Amino acid sequence: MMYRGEFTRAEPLHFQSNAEPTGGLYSWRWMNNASYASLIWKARKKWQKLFLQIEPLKDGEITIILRGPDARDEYGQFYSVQTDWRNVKINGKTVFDGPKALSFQKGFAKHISIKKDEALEVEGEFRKHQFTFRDFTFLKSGNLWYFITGNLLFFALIYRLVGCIRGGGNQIGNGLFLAVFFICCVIPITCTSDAVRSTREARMLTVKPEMKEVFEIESDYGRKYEQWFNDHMGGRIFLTKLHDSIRNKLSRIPRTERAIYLKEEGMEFLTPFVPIFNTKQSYLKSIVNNLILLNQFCLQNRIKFYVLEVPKKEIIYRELLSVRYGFDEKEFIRISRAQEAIRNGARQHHIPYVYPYNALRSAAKQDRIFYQWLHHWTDWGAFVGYRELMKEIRKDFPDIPVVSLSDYTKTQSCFVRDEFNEAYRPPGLQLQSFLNYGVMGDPRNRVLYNHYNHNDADKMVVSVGQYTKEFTYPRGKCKVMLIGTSQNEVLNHFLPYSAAQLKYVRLNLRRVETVEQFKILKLYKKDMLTYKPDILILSISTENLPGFRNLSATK
Amino acid sequence: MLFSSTVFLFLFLPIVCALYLLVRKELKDYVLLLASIFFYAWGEPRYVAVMLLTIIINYVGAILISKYKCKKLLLLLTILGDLSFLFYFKYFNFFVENINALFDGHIDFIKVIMPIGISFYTFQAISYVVDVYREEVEPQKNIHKLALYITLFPQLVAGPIVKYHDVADQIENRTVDFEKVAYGVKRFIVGLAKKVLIANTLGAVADKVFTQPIDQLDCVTTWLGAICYTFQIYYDFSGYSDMAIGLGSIFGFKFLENFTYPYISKSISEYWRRWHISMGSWFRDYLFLPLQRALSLSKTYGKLSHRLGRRKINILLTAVALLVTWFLIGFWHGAGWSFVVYGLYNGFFIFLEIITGWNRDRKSFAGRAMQHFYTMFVVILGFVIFRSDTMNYAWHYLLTMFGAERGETMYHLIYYVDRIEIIALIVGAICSAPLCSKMLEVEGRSQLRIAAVNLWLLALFILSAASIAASTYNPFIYFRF
Repeated sequence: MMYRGEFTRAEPLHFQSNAEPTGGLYSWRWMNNASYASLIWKARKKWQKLFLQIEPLKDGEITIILRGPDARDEYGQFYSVQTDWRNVKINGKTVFDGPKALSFQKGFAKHISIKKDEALEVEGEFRKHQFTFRDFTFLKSGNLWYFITGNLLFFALIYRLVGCIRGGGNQIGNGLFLAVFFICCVIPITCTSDAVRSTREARMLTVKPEMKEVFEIESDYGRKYEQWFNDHMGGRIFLTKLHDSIRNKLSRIPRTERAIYLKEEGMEFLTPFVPIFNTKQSYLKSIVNNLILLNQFCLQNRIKFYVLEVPKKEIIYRELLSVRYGFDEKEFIRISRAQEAIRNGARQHHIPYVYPYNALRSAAKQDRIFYQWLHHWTDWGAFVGYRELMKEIRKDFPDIPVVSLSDYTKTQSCFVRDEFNEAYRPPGLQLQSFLNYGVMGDPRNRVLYNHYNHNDADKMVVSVGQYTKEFTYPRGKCKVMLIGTSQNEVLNHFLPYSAAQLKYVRLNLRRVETVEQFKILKLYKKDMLTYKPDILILSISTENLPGFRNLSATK
Repeated sequence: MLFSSTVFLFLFLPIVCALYLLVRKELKDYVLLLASIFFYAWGEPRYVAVMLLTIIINYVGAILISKYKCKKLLLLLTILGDLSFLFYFKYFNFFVENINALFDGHIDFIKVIMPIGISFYTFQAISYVVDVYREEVEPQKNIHKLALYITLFPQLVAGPIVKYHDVADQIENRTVDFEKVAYGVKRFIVGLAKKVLIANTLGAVADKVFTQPIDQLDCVTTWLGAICYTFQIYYDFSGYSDMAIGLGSIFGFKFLENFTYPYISKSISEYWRRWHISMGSWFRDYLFLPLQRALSLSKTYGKLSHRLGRRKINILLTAVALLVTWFLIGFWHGAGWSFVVYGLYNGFFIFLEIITGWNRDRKSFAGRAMQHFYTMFVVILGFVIFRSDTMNYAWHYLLTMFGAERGETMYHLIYYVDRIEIIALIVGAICSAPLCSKMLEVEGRSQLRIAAVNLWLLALFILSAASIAASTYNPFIYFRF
């Protein structure tokens, strides 16, 4: 019986004109005018026939991918389920006879050029994977050696142990115990994986080190090998999951080295909650002095200087942390006083300093102002911050337009948009956090964020540099230079629509030491003098305040 | 290579065990020797040469001592050879630092990493030549057997310090049987669980506390840090010793116990009889007793005892011997003044107990409770000195513990301890008493009970493996020594 495939799901991806992907799961692929469709059949034990006819509407290229199901566990982690394929033909030409066992991760792909009005026919047979000797193909190169030595040794050892049990009499329990122990010991080395990347950890796995020469002593070979083994040993995922699930079930507040997760609220906070920095009066005064020096430079060059301090997520939620969970309030108070001293010092010297704490606190009642799993503000949070900043700027530049949310189209997504080269971050980050805390299935974490996309987005011209972005918008006023950290990625959905030209300099993308990052005059004096902005905005988060001690450094 | 690393657990250990148990008896020594050298070379292959040189020095030294009359001179030369490596790798920079500080000098430091376990195998080597000198054992004719004694990987990097006379017979002739292997594996799992599940969990808490600036700690937090560290170091070190004893048992050796529930001690003297027994007995056998004997035989002793009376002079003699011994015990632990102070601190309390008789057993419950409280109090405070990077930090830490100084704490206690840490602390406290000391015994136990214990141990092994796989936080404290 022949099955005729139908499109059960056809989801075109949308791309901006500059070919930078802005949506869809495959955002790491940079494709122009592409779309994909998947056809889904249910595989059975018996061979089934597939016949698919594709009629293109115009000339183009198509990639046919045959693979197994997209199987994931409750943590969202892939696991391999294979489907057998055979007698696969494209336009009557045999592609492979098979049978081939293909999984979701290791599929078979064929790239073909097609022309309008020329039908493309794909046919073949498939079934649920049946175990055969071919399944031992995972025992390639290194694995084969480990497999043979490991298993031979351990079969011999267990045989010996069984011999001992027979001789020793009443020792069956211990014999079984030893057999299980040694089998557990040998599994990780006989089943090493050849994965290159870990979805769970969102990182590349270590590459296996090679011995340079047989007799050359490489002092760190052991360490490198150990790193490789740690990443690739069999059962690693099982063991890690087991550990994480126990830890997260037992803990009231699961934590990683740099963050804590409030289970009940479904919120992650970075630790330490408040920046650790010197709060002595002399130190705070030196920060203010640095602001004054930078302001003087701006005045000399007819630039209006503004400071935007983005409150730290943990400070916005300080009551939750201190009242509900008993974290000490004293440090928050200490830091508040220090911040206030800096702000007041700046204002006394007529440096506009925007700290949208109160506005954000009240805005938090309407929508999320910070991402659940990130320290960055959401579109809504950034909009509130933008509004507060513009209030201050309009005192000096009353003509500068201020956007409102009615200029935007609201979309919803669980993705986070916060990084320099991607409008949306793929789900890896959030997924990683879910996995780290073992809360994948928790409904509290299925949060949809509101994303605001300006209706005039097509009129905005953006050119992207290594750590700068330049925006040109015909309806804006003034030339603005924005220097700041990652919080500004979302701010850039609003601020560029007020300026005719805006140059955004991302501080922490430049490859300099952290202490160097805030040496604004040293790093960007030339840029400022060349760009000649009307407005300079220094926008950073509270945790970066200690960096202000280097602000006016010219060397 | 660490015992609690994946490479050791899932690669080195099973392969070495399999090879060792499968080869013929006469090849077993060679398998173990090669495995030990490979184990040592894994982290830093270059330092294998230092260890091999130590073996050669002691092999030749012992043979010469047994042959020639100038035994004492040869013994001194051999010991000097052993200690010179230790001094160079462990203490040279410490002396340079202090000389520079004292005389405003500018002697350059040497760029050298201390070979792992050098303190342990040096002491084992010294034990061998001294035993030969005392004619307690015959000098080893086969260099591979001496090499096996010094390099034996179960106790190579963190002890126990196995004295030669304790294992001389086993090196020559030992049996490997099923019961020893089963016991060894079980003991190894217990040690691994102690290290990974308890010591690492509490160690993370202690690290969090001890890495905070002292002005950000309050009284409760400092006590928490000190108590967690007290349990961490015990479970870390005794866990390692358990693993070493277990591995030894798999290979047919019987190493002496290194820890016998030290936290149930009722005096510091008793505590040191239960804590790191192999080190304590090493210093007792090879330093304290010979020193005491040498002092008592000296002419000055005779003159002073005549003048001051025998009791007083004996106290003075003990004090001097204790001072020297505990100074060196502290110094053995690390090239830093805080370690020296830690050693002298313990020596002081032992001396105090000797002269006051405080260490005598009390009959009443209250008396015993008081003794126990005093011991733990002294031990915990001692570990604060031990854990602190500088004496200045230790001093302020101690002041904060007693409320004499008060920092502004940054975090509530929940930042340091969640349920897991509390569970680890409770389990740690319970298991530091001999409540389950006979868990591994098989003799006279029913099959059901053995099966239950075995299942429990396998579960502990999987949990430990899970913890190892999930975490990179795995340093052994005693690797520093």
